[in-house]
Amino acid sequence: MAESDIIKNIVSTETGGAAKSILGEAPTLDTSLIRNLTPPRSLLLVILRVFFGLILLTGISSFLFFTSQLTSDLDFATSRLKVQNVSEDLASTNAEIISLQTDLNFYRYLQLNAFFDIFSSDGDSFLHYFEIANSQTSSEAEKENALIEISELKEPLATSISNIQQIFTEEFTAPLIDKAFSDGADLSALYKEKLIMKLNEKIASVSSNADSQARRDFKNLTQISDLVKNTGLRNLFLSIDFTALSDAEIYDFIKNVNSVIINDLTIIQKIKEQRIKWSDMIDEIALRTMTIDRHYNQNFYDDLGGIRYTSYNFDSKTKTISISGETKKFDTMNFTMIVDLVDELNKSKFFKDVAVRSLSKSGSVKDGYVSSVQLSLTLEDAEAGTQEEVSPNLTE
Amino acid sequence: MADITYEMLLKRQSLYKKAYAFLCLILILSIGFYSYRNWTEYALAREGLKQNKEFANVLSETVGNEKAAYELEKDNYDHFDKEIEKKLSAIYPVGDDYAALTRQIDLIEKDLSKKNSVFEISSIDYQNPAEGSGYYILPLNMSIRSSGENFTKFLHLMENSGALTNNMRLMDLSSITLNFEDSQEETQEDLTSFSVQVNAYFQK
Repeated sequence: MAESDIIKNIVSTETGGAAKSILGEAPTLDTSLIRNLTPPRSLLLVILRVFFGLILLTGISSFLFFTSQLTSDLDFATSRLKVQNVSEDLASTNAEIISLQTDLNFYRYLQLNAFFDIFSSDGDSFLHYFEIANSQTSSEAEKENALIEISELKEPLATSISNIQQIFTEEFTAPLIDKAFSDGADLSALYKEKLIMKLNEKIASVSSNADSQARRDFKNLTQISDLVKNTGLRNLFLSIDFTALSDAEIYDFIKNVNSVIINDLTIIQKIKEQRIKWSDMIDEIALRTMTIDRHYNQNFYDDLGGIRYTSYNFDSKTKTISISGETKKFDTMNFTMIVDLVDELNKSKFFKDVAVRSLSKSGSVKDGYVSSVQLSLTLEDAEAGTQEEVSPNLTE
Repeated sequence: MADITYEMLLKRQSLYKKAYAFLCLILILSIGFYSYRNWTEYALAREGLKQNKEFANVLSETVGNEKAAYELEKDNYDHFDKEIEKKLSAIYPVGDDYAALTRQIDLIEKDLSKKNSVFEISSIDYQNPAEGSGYYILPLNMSIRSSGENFTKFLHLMENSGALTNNMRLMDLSSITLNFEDSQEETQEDLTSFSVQVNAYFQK
């Protein structure tokens, strides 16, 4: 600012105060020449524009590519152009795997059903002979024969069980590469459903055919369908070591299996389980009576006295046994004998609620005193089975 | 005024550069993210497809083997089925088949009846069939006169009926009413008169 004032004073002294332009009037610019002038094109902008276009093109291509590969939205175009769709191909191979695994499961269950039939048949014989061997009323010869049969039946049973176990250890599901099953969804439910659908189709195809083979197939397919639906059977078989089982355990195991599978033999077995072994009941009554009257059933009644039954009535519907009879004593102790008999019968695992509330006798010391007996025995539930279910509702 | 336009154009050009640069960046990021995500899925699908094709081939072979194994044994299974069917037709027939049952009861009587051990069936009375759960029942009443020994044998036959090993019709005793008779002679054993209601089963 100070420098500016000095120059101003010098200029003012030399010019004598009169303002005089050295260069004259400032020239006027003719801007009309640059009026239409535009800035030079920027190379960078051009590159950016081209680059932007390329990126946009890439984006559209990417979108089209992934849409065509991962969705079915562009199927109308890709199918005409015969362009592969990875996701659909994947779904198609998944469907193929499901179909193949279902076929595999189908053949495995066909074999499984055959092994179960063999097992049920041998099992039926095993149960039959085991019951004979353990019956109170079987003869020694029958028991001996039954034990031999039991021993011979173990081998085919072991083979059937081994075959069944082998199939049950196989994989009944195949992995699928599918989002729907990536979160641990139950694949086994899917394969089970597919197998049941296949079985239902097969059942429908033979159901109206009267041919004996078709009827056999119908029965087998229906049994297989029940096997597939059964969830406990696999664990039941895989949890046992047959060679380590005793005869009684094998007997229980077969009964257990029969309770969860359905075929003609297991239906028969269920009916048999509901039967009451009347011969064992009669034997038990005789044995209990012998503890009170040691000459029972030996034709000494008239001479020595004792107990004699005149009639029995067994009813499986009411699970009761009615017994009529008489006691003969020469020492007047008829009533004691009767209540001793009642106590003895109540000790049995077969019977309960045995009672006699009314007692009377007649006779003399010389001829002996005779007292009539009317006993009513109720069967213990475990021995009575579930006879009610078997008893028919007769329509007269 | 002209200067201003020029300047403005220059500024606009600069703005465009910035805008394009920004848009390019945004697009690169968006497309990059979109492509990355989809590529991952696509790569997984391709890999899955490859695995599935290989697995399907193996599975197809396994199915073939399993089918062949079944077909190989099918005749044996069918033969076994027929055998069981044949046995079932005797012990658990399709219809009530009372005629076959009557013959079987007659055979039981014939087998048990001996000169010194009585077993006589005096009457058989078939009733209307009834439906059970999963089976049908043919109820019948029988009046029998028997020795004690034969009575026990008869009970055993009934209790062990329905086994594949004995081909005897599946039956059970619904009720038994028995009365003991004194023998007329000392040498003869006591006889039992009894009436039984038997349930004979047949397939539903």
